[in-house]
Amino acid sequence: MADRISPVSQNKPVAGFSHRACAVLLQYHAWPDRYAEMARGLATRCGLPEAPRPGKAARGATAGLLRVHPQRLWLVAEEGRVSDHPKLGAEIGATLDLSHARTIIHVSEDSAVPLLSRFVAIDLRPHRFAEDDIALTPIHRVGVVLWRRADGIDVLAPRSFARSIWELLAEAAA
Amino acid sequence: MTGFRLKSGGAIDRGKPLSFSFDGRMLRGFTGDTLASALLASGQRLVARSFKYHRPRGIMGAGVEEASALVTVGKGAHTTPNTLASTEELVDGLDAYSQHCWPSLRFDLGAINQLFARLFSAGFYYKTFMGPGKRPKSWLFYEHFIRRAAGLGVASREPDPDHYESREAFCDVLVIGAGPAGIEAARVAAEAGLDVFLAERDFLLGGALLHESQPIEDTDARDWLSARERSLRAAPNVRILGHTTAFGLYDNGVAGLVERLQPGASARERFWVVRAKRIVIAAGALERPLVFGNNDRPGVMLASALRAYANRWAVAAGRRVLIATNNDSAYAAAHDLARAGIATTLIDARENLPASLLHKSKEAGVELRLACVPLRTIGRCARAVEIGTADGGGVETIQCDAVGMSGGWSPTQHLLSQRGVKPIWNETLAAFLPGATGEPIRCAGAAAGTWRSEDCARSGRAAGAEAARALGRRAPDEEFPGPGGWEAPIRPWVFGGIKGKAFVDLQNDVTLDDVRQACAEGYDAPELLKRYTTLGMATDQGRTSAVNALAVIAEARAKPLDAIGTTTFRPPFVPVSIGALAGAERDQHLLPTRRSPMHDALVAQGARMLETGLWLRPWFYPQGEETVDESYLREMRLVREAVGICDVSTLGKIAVQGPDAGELLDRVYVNAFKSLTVGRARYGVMLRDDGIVMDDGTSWRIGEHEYFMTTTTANAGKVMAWLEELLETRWPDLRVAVTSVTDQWAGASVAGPLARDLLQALVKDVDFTNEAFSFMGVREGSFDGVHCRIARISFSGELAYEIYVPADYGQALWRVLLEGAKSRGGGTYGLEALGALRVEKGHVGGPELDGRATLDDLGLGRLASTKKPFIGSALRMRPDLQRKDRAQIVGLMPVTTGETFKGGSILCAAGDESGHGLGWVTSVTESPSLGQWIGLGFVKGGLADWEGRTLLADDPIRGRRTLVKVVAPHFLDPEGKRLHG
Amino acid sequence: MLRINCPFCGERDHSEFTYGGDATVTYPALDAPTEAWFEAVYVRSNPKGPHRERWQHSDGCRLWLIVERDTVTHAITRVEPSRAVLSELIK
Repeated sequence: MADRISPVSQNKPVAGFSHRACAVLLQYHAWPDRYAEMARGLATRCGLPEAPRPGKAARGATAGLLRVHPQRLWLVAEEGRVSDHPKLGAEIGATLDLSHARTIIHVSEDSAVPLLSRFVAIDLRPHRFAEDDIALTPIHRVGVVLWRRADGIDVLAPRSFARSIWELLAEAAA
Repeated sequence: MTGFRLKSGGAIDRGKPLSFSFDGRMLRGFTGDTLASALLASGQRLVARSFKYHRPRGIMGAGVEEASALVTVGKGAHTTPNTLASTEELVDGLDAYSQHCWPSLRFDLGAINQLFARLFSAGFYYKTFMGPGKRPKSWLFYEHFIRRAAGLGVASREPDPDHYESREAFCDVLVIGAGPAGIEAARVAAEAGLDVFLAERDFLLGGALLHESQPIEDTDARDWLSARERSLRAAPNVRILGHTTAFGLYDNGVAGLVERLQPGASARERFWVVRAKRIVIAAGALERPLVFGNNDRPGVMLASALRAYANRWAVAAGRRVLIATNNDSAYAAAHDLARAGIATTLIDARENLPASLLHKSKEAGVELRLACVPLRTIGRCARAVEIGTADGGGVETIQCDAVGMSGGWSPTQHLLSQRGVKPIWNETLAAFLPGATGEPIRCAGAAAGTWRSEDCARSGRAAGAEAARALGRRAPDEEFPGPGGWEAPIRPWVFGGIKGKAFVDLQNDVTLDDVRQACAEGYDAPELLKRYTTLGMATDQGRTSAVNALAVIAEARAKPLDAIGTTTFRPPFVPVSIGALAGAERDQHLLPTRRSPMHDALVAQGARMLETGLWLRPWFYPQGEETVDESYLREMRLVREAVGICDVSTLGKIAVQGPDAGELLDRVYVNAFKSLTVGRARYGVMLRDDGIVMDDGTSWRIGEHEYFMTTTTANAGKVMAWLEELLETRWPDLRVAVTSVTDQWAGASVAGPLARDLLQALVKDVDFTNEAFSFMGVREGSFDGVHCRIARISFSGELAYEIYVPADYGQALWRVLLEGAKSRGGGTYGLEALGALRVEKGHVGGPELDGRATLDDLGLGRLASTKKPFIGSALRMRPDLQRKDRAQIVGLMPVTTGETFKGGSILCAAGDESGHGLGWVTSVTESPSLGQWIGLGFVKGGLADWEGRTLLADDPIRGRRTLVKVVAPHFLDPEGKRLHG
Repeated sequence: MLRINCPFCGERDHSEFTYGGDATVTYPALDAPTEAWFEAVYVRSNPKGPHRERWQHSDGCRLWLIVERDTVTHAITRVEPSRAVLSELIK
């Protein structure tokens, strides 16, 4: 089996930054009248009482759900395979594998707010952007998804821009 | 030598001396000094030369109102010209230089300009160079000298070695200015539980309190200040930024600020964008100069500056001071100086004053003269002043070595005016006060026209409380005090018996005569006057000159001042360095860079990369010392004769999913896609609503309810947004999901006679024979455990495939493809070869899809379905787009084999090179297969009118002319035998 | 800096959005006559005052929005998704 090589694997390690594996990133899109049903089903699969509301993520035992659009949930897992997860029937919606489309850059707690506040026009202070809050917003004109974790902030960057964003943040952190 | 340090007092730390230099001379100061206060204390009076006349200038202010003392700080790449000495914090080792004088500050040859003063009056540029000197050539000749003669500092041309940062911030209340009003506003807002941001330009908090000798609220001013500062700094919900200037207010409570960081910090400056729910402008007020003869001499300064230098910095500007005033505020300055042991004379333009003022002056030991105005300063540096009555009578000369002047006060409400709020003229106070606004912005303190410290504090509290209540918090009831606070009214605008050059705008050298002359010539509206005389256009943007100029206009037009109007206020309030605004977005980070999944492998291979938009794409793969031209020809041969591989990952890729996916494609493409069989791909063109071609690409049906759409690299984003727009705004009932998957997939094209052989060896679970996998088929398979998707598509016209794998496997794919290609005598090809190959086949690309061409212009009219309507199908049939004489696509070949021609050439009939010609050349290349150069272009009438005929390809800019023959654009294998084999 | 209150993401800088034209235009059916398409594509009024226009939250959730903005003061009074049905899903 060939190796997965991430776009930031060649970048020099920087204190406070790391690459987080994105083994599975599945987009679940429901037609508007079927969203509630899809959301319930996915929440149950992930062991969650309900699917996350706009601006939120919810973490289950093996995967997290991110509400990235009124009709969409992203299922993100650090391990496992796409085939472990269900596909929606066409009458409910559409499933799309995006596991290679995003690179996850993790910025650790101490640096996260001051560093990202240089490039992100959102109030990232912990009382305004708390654990499992998410935001879809640009860094340096590139749309990313920010996910506040217990130990910092994950930046889900489009793969083709990941190295550029890593370098911008790493230079700023230096 | 006039200025000197007082023996005690001042908010300076005499235990921490600093050394600095001015024009190479080593001098000493203390921590807490500004460059200006340290220069004054060292006895340095002459500091600068003026813009136009090179008049000797000194320090006239103690803050941003400084108009004359502009110096250059630093050298080489760190040169910072036009720095105000009065706001520059003194640091150890600071090197400052006078600017714009030669050979030296003391003996500046530029002063010769004063002899030609009558020529250089208002409107100089517009009046000279008429007649014999009128032609552009003369102006260009004289301009060279004029530019050298007038000016301020000179910027370095070296790259800026400093770093700059940006910060995005959010708060409930932004308080601008930390004087008594700002501090109280911040305190009240913070105590109400709001998230407060307090910004102060100076390096200390306190504003006017820093030089206030009188108690405030029965407390010593400094004690009052330090107690409040302590509690503000301890409050967790207050962020205080010193060294931070708010330079602009924008829509929706957004403010721009620049923070000057300390030497040794991670950056030189930090640009803050603060988004506030409420804003309090507590930026104080600026004193105005008096207009009288030679009011610009070194030694002449604003009365409040004299006071600030004495009280805050313990510097006396002279031993014998004359202060001229028309309002109460100068009295405090006179009293403080007299008490410090400086002989002080105070002359007041007014006649009747309250007994309290007279009494205080007598007690302080000030010599007071009423009904008296300054007429002119005597001496190259002030050594005396001629005074007299308002009409120029009763002239007397008073010896002095420092002069103070107070012509009134202007509230600093520029930030509010930037929001388009017109300031309101208050005749009694002779000041513009803030106008009413519906935005959540409030001016407080002197910025609202309250003059007394205690009233400023009350005003600040009221502003803080108002902000808190507006955001739903409880706050104490506090009334805004009314504007004013003087005991006697001001008497402004005495322009009577003035002699000599009386300056209105010190920084741009605009005199009273200039302003009057401009009015006499009809330039008597503020915006006209500004541009005609350049008054208010220097780096101080009219801070001390604007109101005095309006008064002169009012007098000239015999109208009240508030009927005159003002100029438009625009950010920035003070100059802002471009570096701060750029922040980290410079050099390689000016824009983000987009890289293909194969990037590292390509670079390791020696590919020369090309920036196309944000992407880096492989342009060519030089072997040895190959030039681009040698390289691309070799690469083309590889493709036509063996097999070439090319990274095509940058093409736009969109997943189109759902029961109505086919319906969506049918509506956006000109041709049919709903009926496309699963496992087939098709070339499609999409139009704009107006019938012009938007983009082309291939869409593959990979499932009953799923298509894989490809677009050109350049238009990927545009097409994605277009599909989203259509689905959300026009066809909301379609059950389709569209998602960009450009980054999900790495893609390579494999092209050439040996392409099949290569891929069959690699992807063993797909049958690549022509019968099993015909042209435009789509298959899914795997190699080395990696899922791949393959379509038999050809851009080059050869037997070709595009193979896609999930992006993180891109390099693994590239490695095996490269081995396979090399072992078959093939190799890699880049953008240059890719472009050349498609020109040989007559395929249209970016240069042809230029936003003007229709389907018919491109020779693709037959692609349009007649069975279903599509986006653009209505308007593409409008008469203008159906004209036979439109510019249509043709192939071109030089008549003489071996001749070359360039894209961008104009096509015209030989012998008739006129107007816009008949068409233009879009793409050219050398064709190794045909042994000559070929090209594509557009000509009016197209092949129908021109096939077989000759045109001239005229390239006037590069000086080339080539005769070309018009042919059908499909140069190679027009029947597509290689494609379908 | 305009601040636009995206119904899904919250208030954001206008630089996260792309302007998308006049929202009061209804595009005709694809097979409607040329005249109807000419009106829809080329003819616009230029109102002074409140105006409904389209913006896409291109750097965020990518929703197409209808924004009511005053063309004189830039004050934005209303922002809603183009598809009313999505407002329900956002609650």
